[in-house]
Amino acid sequence: MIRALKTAASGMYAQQLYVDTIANNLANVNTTAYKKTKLEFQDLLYHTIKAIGVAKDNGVTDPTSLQIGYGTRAIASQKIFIQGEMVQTDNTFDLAIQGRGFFRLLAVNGNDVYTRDGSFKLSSDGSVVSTHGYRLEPEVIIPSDAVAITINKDGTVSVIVDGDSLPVEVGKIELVNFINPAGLENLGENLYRESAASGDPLTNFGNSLNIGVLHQGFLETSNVNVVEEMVNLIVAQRAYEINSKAVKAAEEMLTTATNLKR
Amino acid sequence: MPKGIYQAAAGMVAGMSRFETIANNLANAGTTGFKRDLQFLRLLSDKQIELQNRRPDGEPVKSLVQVQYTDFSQGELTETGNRLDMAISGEGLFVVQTMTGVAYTRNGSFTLDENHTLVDYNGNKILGDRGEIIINGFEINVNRNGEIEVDGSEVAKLRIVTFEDLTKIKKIGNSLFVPRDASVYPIEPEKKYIISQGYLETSNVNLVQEMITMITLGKEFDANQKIIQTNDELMQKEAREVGRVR
Repeated sequence: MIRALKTAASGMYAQQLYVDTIANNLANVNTTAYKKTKLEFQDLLYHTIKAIGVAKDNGVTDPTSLQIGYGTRAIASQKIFIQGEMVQTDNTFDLAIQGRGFFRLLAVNGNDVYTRDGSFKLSSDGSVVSTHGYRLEPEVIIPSDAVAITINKDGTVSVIVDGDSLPVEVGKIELVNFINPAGLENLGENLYRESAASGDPLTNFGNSLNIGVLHQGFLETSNVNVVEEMVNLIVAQRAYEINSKAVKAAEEMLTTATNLKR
Repeated sequence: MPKGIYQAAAGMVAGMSRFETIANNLANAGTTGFKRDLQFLRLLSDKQIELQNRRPDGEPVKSLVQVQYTDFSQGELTETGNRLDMAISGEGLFVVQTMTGVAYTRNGSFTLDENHTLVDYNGNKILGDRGEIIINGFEINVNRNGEIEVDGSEVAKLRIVTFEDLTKIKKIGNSLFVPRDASVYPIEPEKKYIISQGYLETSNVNLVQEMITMITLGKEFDANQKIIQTNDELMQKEAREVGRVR
C-alpha cells in the first residue's frame, strides 16, 4: 500500500512538471521565434510479485503473472520546431526564416550558437548583430554611407551607397541546419547550441531555397498555440487531481485496514 | 475458526494489489505508448481448490487467484510535428536494442545519438530490417509502411513485430516490453499497421474508468473489513457469552 502512495505521488510530480512546461510555453506566447516545449514521460520499473509459467507442486504451470508498476517519470523535454507565423514589422534588419534553417551567431566566448530570432541590429562598427550583440557568422558589414539595404530570399545582402544608383553586394547571410533540430541544447534567450543528438551544423546546401527562405521586414512569432496549451493544461490539472485522489484512496484503505482491530 | 474471516482477508490483500495497479495506470496517464494493466480476481472452482496445496488444517491456501494482463488497445495519436516521432496504428511494436538484449516498445519518440543512429530517449538503438538505422541527411521521410527515406534515398525499413500471445511479454519499465521466457518469439504482424511520422501514441489509460474502479475497490475493501469485524464479533460472543454460566 505504501507503494501505491509513492506511485500516485510520482504521477502527481510528473503532472506538476507538465504544468511547469505549459506555463513556460504560455509565458512565451509573444516571444519572437519561440518554439514550444513538450515533455515526454516513461513508466518506471515493475515489481514482479508472481512470475509466469512457474510449475506448482501439483504439476500445473501458472498461466498468469502479477507485476506492479512503480509509477512514471519525465524522461525528456523536447522543442517542437513547427513554423511560427510571420508578422510584418517593416524594419530593415528584421528577418524571418520560412523553412527549417537557423542563423549562426558568434557568442562572446568564441563558440557558435544558433537562433531563429531574426531581430537584428547594427553595431557601432557596422556589423549585423543579434539582440544579444552577437555577430552573424560569417560576418556581414554594412558600409556607413549605405542608404538602402536589401536582403534577398537567399540571404544576399545588397546596399546602395550614397550617391550611387546601383546596388552592391556586401555579404551573404548563411543559414545552417541540423539533422535533428529537436536534439539542440536550449540556452535560453532564443539561443540553441549543437549537441550529440542534434548532429553537426550542415551548411553546404548549394542554392537550394527549400532549406529556408529569408523574409526581410518580417519576424517569426512564437509557435505556441494558446488553445492547445489550455487543453493540455486542463488534462494535466485533471490528471494531477485524479492522482491525488489515488493518494487519498490509499490513505483511506490504510485507515480501513488499521481499523480492523477495534 | 470461521472460513469467512480468511476469505475476507484474502479479498483485502488482493484489493490492495489491484489498487496498486490502478495507481500505476493513473500515474502513467500521460506516458507515451503506455498500455494499461488490468487485474482480476478469479474465484477457484471446488475442483481447482481440490488441486491446491492445503494448509495443515485441511483448508486450501487461497480460494482466489489474481490474474493480470496488459490491455494493448490503441491509444490516441497526437501530432507533434517532430520528424523523428512515430506512432503505430494497429498491431505491432518497435524493436529496440538495449544493453541487455532486444526489447519491444510502442513509444515512438525517437532522437539521434552522436553517430546519427536512431535511438530512443534512453539511448537504445531502434532496429530496422538491416539492423541499426543511421540517418545521415537532412530530409527525413517515413512512409506508412515504416520505410525511412533520407534525402530521397531509402535507408531502412523500421522493424515492426508482434507476438502470437501478447500475455507472453512483460513490462520492464522505460516503455519497454520483453518476452517472458526464451520460448517466446516475435512474429510478423498479420494485420496491416500504419506508421505515422510526426505523431505519438498517447497512453490508453482512461481516467474515468480507472476512477470508477478505484471507487468500487474502496467499497469492496470496506465491505471485507465489515465481514472480518462481524466475524470477530461473532467469535467474541462465542467466547464470552455462549459458554457463560449464569
